[in-house]
Amino acid sequence: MKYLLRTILVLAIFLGMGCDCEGYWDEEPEYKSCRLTDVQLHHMNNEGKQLIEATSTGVKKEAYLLRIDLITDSLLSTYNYDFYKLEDGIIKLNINTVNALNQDYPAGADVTTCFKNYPGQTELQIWDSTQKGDTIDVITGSKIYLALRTIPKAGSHSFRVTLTLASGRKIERETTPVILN
Amino acid sequence: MKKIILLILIFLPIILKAQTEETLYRYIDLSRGININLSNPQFDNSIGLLSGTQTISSFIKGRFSYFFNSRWGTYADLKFYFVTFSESNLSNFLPKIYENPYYKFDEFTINEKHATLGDLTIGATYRIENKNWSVRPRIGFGIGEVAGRSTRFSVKENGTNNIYKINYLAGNKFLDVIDLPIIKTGINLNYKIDELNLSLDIGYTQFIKKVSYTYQVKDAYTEKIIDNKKIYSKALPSNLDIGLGLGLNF
Repeated sequence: MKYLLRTILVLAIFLGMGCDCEGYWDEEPEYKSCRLTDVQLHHMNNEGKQLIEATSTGVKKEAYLLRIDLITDSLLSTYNYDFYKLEDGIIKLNINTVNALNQDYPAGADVTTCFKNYPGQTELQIWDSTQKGDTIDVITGSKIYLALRTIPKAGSHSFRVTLTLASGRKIERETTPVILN
Repeated sequence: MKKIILLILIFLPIILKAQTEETLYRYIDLSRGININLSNPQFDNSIGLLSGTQTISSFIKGRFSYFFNSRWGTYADLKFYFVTFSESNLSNFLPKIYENPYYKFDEFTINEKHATLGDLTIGATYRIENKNWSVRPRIGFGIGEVAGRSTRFSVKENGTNNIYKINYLAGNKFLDVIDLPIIKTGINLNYKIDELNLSLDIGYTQFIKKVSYTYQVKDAYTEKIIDNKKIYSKALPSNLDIGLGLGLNF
């Protein structure tokens, strides 16, 4: 009953035509190869409509976001329509808290699961697919935005980010302290 | 008496044949004209607005009628009309609880300006005619289409990282039409020129089910559904069509 009319019409149209879509979706884009050289960490303030870089006055603890900038030997720009692929993909992204995050996460604890990919509007964003067990290798942007989804205790916090690459190489960086209030 | 029965039996095939020849009438009618949307979306809720189209549009229609005798017949009718969506402001669809202190972004919808809708009806028709004129009223049931624009947007809560996705899905999917049952009545006034008819065709379509949308709110991080319900339009859609056409009687 539902969509019956459309179904009849579509069937009638399909009776008279063929479709040769074979191979259309199988085409892989041509990737440009690049290498991850460094990582930069930024504290972001998400209190308002737009994300802004955190200032020394701190960030509301429900609106904190960690931005991880991937520095590669290729320049990724906003209007880049090329597809880049990391020669040495990121297989793991770990975040540890330097100070106690809250009662559940003491100093040094792994707080990776407390951060989630930010689904809001951002620029040059790439998704942290390691959260689903995938490798980050095809990159169409250079910034990973991770929203803190666990409410931390008020105070000064800093985080240590460790990227593990497919080759086994690790890149480890620590944020500057940020006041979450 | 026996003679009479015998005479009837002898002439029965001829009588039947004569009746058959006289009563087997088929019509093909084609018409074109204006379709008037009688449900004014301005006085409806958000669903009525999402599926609302401008009042006047054009239509084409084809109908095949078959008469069993000199009076009664059956017909099948297919109509297409070309609608333009009413202007809609998405802010009308933001539920009250997601107004301030939320920010709206990531809208996905209402790119479509036009849609082609159709309805298919089968039913009964009656014929009154003299030498030059004939009138054929009809009533039937069928399926009609209503324009439906699914819309989706996200809201971000002020002061937090919370983001919610709000969906209004036509039917259950992102389709631009929704099929609903209809009752359709109409009348066809014909001026006969041999086998050809010049006709004025008037039809009224009454949808007998309200337009429904699935309203859904999801947590953008986890895709967990927070709210899910069906929302119905206030009014039952209805259309009036008036057209001129040509018919063939054979």
